[in-house]
Amino acid sequence: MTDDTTRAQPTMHPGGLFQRRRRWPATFGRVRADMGGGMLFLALVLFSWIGPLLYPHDPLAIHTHHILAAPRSRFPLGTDALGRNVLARLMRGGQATLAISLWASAIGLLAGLLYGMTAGLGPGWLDRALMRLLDTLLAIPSLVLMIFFASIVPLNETSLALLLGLVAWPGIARLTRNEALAARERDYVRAARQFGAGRLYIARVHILRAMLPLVIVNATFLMADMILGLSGLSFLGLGIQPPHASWGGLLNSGAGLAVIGSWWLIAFPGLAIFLAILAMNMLGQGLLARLEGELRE
Amino acid sequence: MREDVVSSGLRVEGLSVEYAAKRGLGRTRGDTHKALADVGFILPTGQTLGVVGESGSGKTTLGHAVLRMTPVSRGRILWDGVDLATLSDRDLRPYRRQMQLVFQDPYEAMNPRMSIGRIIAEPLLLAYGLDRHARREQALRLLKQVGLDESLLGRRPRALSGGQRQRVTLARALATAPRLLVLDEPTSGLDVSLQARVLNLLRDLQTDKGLSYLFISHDLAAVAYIAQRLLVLFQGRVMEQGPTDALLRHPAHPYTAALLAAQPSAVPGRAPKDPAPAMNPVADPVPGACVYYQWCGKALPRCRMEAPDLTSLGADHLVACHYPGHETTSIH
Repeated sequence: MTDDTTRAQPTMHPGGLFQRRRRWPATFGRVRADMGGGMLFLALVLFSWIGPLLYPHDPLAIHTHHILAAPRSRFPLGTDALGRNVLARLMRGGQATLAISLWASAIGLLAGLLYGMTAGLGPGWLDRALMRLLDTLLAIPSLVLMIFFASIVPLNETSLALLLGLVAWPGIARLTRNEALAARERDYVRAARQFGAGRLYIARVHILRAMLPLVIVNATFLMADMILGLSGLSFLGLGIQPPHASWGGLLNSGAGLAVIGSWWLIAFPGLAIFLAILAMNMLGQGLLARLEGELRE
Repeated sequence: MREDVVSSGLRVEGLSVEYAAKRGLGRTRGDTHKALADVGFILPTGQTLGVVGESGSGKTTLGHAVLRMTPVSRGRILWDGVDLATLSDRDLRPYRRQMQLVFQDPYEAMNPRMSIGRIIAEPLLLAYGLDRHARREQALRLLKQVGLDESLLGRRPRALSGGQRQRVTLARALATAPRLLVLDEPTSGLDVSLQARVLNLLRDLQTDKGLSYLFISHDLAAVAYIAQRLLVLFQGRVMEQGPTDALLRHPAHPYTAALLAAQPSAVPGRAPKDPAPAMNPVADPVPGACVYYQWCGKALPRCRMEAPDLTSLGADHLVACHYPGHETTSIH
């Protein structure tokens, strides 16, 4: 036993081949993950907002002679069943999808932070009450909840952002509450209290500061969830209403036709959704790895 | 007689801190765990009271209770004649400035995301609402006072050494010009040469500013160096208290003797021959018996039947033992 451990030590040496082979890709990958994710997301943002300036075509214009045209030079990504330009629709759809997801994440983040901070820093009975309420809400599947609300409110960009925000905040709220509970017992928080700091000061200066990096990381994951959630809603026909475009809506209208050969109707919106979610997850993972590295020090 | 002498300073009477016993799955116990029971002492202005005891003996709880950082179940904390134990949080505020805690772990006591300057200036902002410029000036003055260079002002706690961190928390504690410092193991994380420097710094600050120290430590050597009086705690109860010299030379309580034996360097050659008994401070004491009964090498039947009260051995020396110190030998 003892002999084995002593013999094993040389390979654990930091300069050893074994260690090097193990460590290099991890560090490399970590640095690239958030940079790559950020770049990819930026590319999608540029595609959606700058793209229409470089490729000024009306996403709603109907070209009756080019129905279901395959990708060619005039329509690089083809046309749909009504003869509308898929590339132009993908760009406009990107604007809607990304903007609504972003707003939804912001709403979820803010609501979750407020709720979690109130529960985590308030008196015990309030914490228990708020957390039970949260549990109740989480017991209902979020898709069911969204469909329920989507069926009773008029669907536009604002209501969709609010709707998605509604299902986004519980996760952030729970995270915030747990972090706040942990942070309020830290010695530096107790010290601040001894100096006469009030609840609001402690929440703002110490606790928010301590948890903000983690919350930001989670907000990027949340953004990925929102993109997927909005696309799901749109695919079910409860998102952006036609004739206006969204990535999920494009998938919805193209799904039936793709089966009979119009692959471009779902391939490109699907790719866009995939890339957007990949970008946010890469960004979140990379940031998380950085954060953990910082905490380990 | 003594009451008149210490009209100013800290006087603690019958201080108890109790926690509801943890309720495990299935089993419920209505009783309480006594973290501190009936602790009393006097700390005159400008003096140091050393609180010693092993881990779990209630030293830190005592320090926190005196500052009202932990809820007090019973007892009085008289500060210049005002009972802090009964004040509301709002009424307590002006007194909080006068008494500060230096935390056991200086790194934990600093927000890792703040610069040293902000950390030191935080109490100035909170207690006096000083503007940025005044805060910086004061922070520089405080840094100098604890012997640190002003170049540290912009650094993060992570970039500092253990000794520097300890000095920074000390500087921060001094920011509100307190009159009492509760020092919770201020030297435990430092190597021996740094310990001596921090202790000397504490001594200098005490003579300069007339500070009172409640010095919590398990290191008898450090305590003996700085404290005029000692308080020995075991399981939240006072075992012995008295002048440092008398206590270390003639420990009346077997627990004090055991602590000294465990640390022969405190007073070389004076350590008793009995080895320090292995202790399990988590175990609850047998009801009605002396709390030290299970561990005591000199226990007699009476110790099991009757818990000893704190009795005077004369010359300010109190001990909670039926057969204190030298008398034990005559009985055997």
